[in-house]
Amino acid sequence: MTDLEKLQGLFQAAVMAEKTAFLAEIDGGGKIPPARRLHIYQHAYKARLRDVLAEDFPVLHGMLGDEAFDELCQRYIVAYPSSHSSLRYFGQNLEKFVTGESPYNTQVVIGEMARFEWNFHDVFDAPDHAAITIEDVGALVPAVWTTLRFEFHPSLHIAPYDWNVLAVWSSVQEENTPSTNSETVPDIMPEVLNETTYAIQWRQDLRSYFRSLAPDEARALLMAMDNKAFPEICEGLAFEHADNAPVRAAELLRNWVTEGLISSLNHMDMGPQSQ
Amino acid sequence: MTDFERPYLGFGMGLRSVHYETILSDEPDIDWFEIISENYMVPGGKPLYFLDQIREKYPIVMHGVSLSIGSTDPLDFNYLKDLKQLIDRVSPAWVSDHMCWTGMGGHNLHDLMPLPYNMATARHVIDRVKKVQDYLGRQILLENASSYLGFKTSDMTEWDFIAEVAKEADCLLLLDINNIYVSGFNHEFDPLDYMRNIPPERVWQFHLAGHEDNGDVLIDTHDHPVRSEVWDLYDQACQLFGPVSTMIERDDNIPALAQLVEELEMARKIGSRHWGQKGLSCGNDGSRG
Repeated sequence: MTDLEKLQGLFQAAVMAEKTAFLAEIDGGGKIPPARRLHIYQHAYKARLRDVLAEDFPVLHGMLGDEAFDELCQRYIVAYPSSHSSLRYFGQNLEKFVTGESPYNTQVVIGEMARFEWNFHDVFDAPDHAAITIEDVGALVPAVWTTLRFEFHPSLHIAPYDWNVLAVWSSVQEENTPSTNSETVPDIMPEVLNETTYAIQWRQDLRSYFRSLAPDEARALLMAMDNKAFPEICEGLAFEHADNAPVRAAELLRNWVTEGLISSLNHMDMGPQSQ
Repeated sequence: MTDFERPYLGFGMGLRSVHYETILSDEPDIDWFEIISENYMVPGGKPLYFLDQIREKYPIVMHGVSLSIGSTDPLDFNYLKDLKQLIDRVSPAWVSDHMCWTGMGGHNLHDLMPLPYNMATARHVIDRVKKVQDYLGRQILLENASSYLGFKTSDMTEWDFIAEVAKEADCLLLLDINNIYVSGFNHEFDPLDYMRNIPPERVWQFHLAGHEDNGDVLIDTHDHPVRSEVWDLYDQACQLFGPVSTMIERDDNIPALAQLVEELEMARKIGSRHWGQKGLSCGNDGSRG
């Protein structure tokens, strides 16, 4: 181990874990003592990472309040120190952390809000891909519908929620875009939903959107995202819609296309057909 | 004034996402923009969309924060690969990072950690700069960071250390005038001694920014306008170094773009007092061909 490696190891341990051995390495001259000089780095480290989490999880912050959120941040910083070159990814394990750690794991809504808010970051800078149009679907010849499968926009996320996370989040947002506010107290209190509800988040024309799904749509979309062909999706809808299943499937497909969720149509007869 | 050629872009600004729309709609009187490289090392979406639009109208330089040139961890070639990809996309006038380390053992402290200034450290950094420059196929600029502590094992001044690395690694320098002022106050050296000992031909860019005055220590916060003491030092830097591309960095409490453009006018006024029209010619773009 070189002197530099040893020195950096001591410095980093002092910043991340407040170890004191590094103090002996600091030049003692000047107006302020070594401990205060070191404290500037220790404070900046925690404050910077806490600020990033506050910016990335504004509604979770509002739900918990400053004190509890700060405690959560300090525990998370210790459990998941950053190893990525960009702060953009620092919060990626927060959902995992709160669903595994007491007391957060006793309040499911905390994990769900962490998931919902983090998904917006992945939506925001997911790979670009053009979406297909209603005209593309209209141009399909009848024969291809039996093998028709869908590829979805890379930004599309789907996840189940047992709590009214979307309503709570919406109560502090004026529109369906992620906020950069760091202190936002929700008007709506968290409540358990009557049944598990799926929600999607995606990007269309550089804007991020979200909405909840009716149970039949959630099942159909999960099947479509699992690369099931259109006839299988219709069969899945037959439970609730019987003979009307193809009509409901066509309606859902129109919505998905209009919302920019589908990036290509694949079928066996003609190979991939994408925009 | 000088017997060397240095590319000159004029007066620029750090590109921040809150200003994207204003830049495209108003096309403000800013000569160029500096991007934080890591903010655009993403798969897609708004950041890259706006960057593509803005680079059609303005020259761009790239400024990284995670190269960690002084770290004792191995160079991160995955990071360098992504950086090179972005360079290919952006075709920046030049690429910079900091004379510092940002973490070890795979961690990133996301801070510009100071290095001990001695020959062993200089050799370590020189070797890594050469490797990075070889990989990227171009010279890089390294920026002096603000610091709040020094090491018992330092036996060189910061300026001698920086000059040694620049000379031996054949790299270029980004001088942050505010950082020189902040570190000068915190370590009790004369900023003029610093600047007089930096080889002017290596300096391709100046940063200007605001700091926080805590009485007995200054903190480089980038959340205030440039302070008058730093403007005075910039005035002297303009005289010492000749025409150097200058920009204002603002990372927190970011005001409306018009306010920053007004601040940039101050830099223009000071620069033009020293350089007149001399600074308007541009040289090479920093690539090694």
